[in-house]
Amino acid sequence: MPDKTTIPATPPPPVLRARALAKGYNTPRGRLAVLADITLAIDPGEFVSIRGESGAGKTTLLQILGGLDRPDSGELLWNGETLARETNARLARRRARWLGCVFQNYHLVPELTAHENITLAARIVGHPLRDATPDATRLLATVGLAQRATHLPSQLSGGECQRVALARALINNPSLLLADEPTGNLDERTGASIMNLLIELTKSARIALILVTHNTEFAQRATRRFILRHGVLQPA
Amino acid sequence: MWPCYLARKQLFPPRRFPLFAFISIVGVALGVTALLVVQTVMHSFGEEHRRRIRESYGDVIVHAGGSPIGAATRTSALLLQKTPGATAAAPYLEGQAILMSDEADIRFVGVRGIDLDGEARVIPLDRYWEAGRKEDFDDEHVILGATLAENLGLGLGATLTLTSPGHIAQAIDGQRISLPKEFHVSGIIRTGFRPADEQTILLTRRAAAELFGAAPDTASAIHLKLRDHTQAGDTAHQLNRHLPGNLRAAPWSGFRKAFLDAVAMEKELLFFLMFIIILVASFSIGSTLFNHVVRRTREIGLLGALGARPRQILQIYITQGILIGLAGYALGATLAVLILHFRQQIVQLMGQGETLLQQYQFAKVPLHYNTPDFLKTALLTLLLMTTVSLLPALWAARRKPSEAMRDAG
Ligand SMILES: Nc1ncnc2c1ncn2[C@@H]1O[C@H](COP(=O)(O)OP(=O)(O)OP(=O)(O)O)[C@@H](O)[C@H]1O
Ligand SMILES: [Mg+2]
Repeated sequence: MPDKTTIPATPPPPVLRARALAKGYNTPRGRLAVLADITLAIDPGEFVSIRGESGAGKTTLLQILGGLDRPDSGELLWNGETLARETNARLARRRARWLGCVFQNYHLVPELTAHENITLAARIVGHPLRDATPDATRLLATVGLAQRATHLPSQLSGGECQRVALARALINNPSLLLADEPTGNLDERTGASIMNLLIELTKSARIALILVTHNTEFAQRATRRFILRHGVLQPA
Repeated sequence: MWPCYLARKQLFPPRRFPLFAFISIVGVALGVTALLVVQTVMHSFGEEHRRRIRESYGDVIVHAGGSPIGAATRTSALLLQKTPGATAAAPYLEGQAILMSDEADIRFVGVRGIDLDGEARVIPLDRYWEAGRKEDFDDEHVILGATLAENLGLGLGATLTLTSPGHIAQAIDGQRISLPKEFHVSGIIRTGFRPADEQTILLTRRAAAELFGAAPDTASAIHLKLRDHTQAGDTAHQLNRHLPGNLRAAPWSGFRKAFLDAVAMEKELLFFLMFIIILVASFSIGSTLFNHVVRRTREIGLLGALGARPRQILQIYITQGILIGLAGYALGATLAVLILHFRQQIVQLMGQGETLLQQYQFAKVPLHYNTPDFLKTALLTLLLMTTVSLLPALWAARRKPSEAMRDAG
């Protein structure tokens, strides 16, 4: 029997694998092909950035990769498992455990406090509130909002809202975090601090990150960089 | 359960006046109030009529199909002894008479001859007593209904004359004429039931027999009071299997049946009409709810992105419908109880006291709560609110997260 250490370790499957994804929308002026042929594999903990002109289909791409929408054709695997045959309900359940999202305009629930917005994500996955509470408190401190736990989104600045959204995206320990222009609505300095936080936190938790941004400086920090053009991902 | 938690939060947002919840809840509450007040008033009228009928006829009447019952005192005692659940029995003799007095025109009246002590055990005469003394009632005295006494201008101690149509017929036939007999008013009773107060003339049974030329100790009927009036039907049924000769027993529920049926139908009809109004109101609450849901399209998309399943989204908005229904019912029922509590003042304010007296023969608006009416309305409210919230909830549950999040709202 060969020594355990000599067995070549089978590499873990990519967190996400996309093969020849295509997606179009029906518009009054006929079919609009947004994604033509997307092929991509993301390893655990990897940081990938995507740039592209407005209307290039970056949001569409993230939505398809995150299972918020389905591709017209092509194949998508999460942790090596195909999603094509999943019902919407099962897809939602898997998404809750596997994925975290940060959006350009925060998307916090206005009736919930910062702390409640974070625990809500844990409760949707099925964690009891009593387990989620300390995690949310810790994450709020991590993003620098320990003093803002009971504030409603309307009482927070844009940057603070985005920090809450970041904490919410992290509470379920996702394998992948999708960030769609997370600093698009923020001034440069606030944006930079959020970006740093985002990159640091995913890196230390070994969460794979796909970052859509117009900011070349932050895009440069990714291990792999792409530009979305004519529905295809081109290395930058 | 987070969908219920979120439903509560969206309905009653913190640190803000819950305008949407307020409007919807008040809408439901008003409908509930209307339904409950109408149902309770109609039920109370019915109950009041039933009680009045019981209290003027007794729970069970034993009669001989129109012919007189002989040896009435003994028959009455026997009936009381043999009837299960009977607490009192009293014979009475009824007939038509012609009334004359100095103050008023000659008129036909119905006269009832009673044994006062026994009668008072079947019918709550003591409660009705308005003037005079029971002890003064004898073969020379009458007890009058209060309205009749007023109409005739007869007070306590006044004199009136009674004669029976039979006497007049005999006089026409040239037979021996018995003179009209004089009576004095020894008591006045007020039942609050207009027909009774307008018509009642009570004599002793002996005086009535003399007036009608009937044999002594006869009765038109014997009425019984039961410990439990709801047993009247069964008791009458049982009596009919054992009663000798031509005696028949009838329960109170059969008296003035057509009238009671009409009252019941009126209640059903009103419920139906109110229900249609409530249905219309539900639709407008439904559209408010739809608006409320549509404005949250982006939030719905977000919940989807966070992994909420369509079923859970559905749950959020149905829960809101149910919460509105529950709160609306609680508020509406409270309001209804308040209105019913102050019913007398409200009727007076509307200046409808006289109409009430004339149309329904009640001096006061009666109040009898009926639990089934409240349960029925509660069930209906919840059912309607669930149905009405189903449409917006289904709409929300079918949103694709990707499109919902792009929503401009
Ligand atoms: N539901 C839809 N129906 C029709 N067309 C759509 C729909 N959603 C997006 N599109 C179109 O698809 C294209 C890609 O949109 P998308 O939002 O993915 O672009 P983007 O790269 O994220 O742009 P931006 O940088 O401005 O956010 C756009 O031309 C848009 O108009
Ligand atoms: Mg976009």
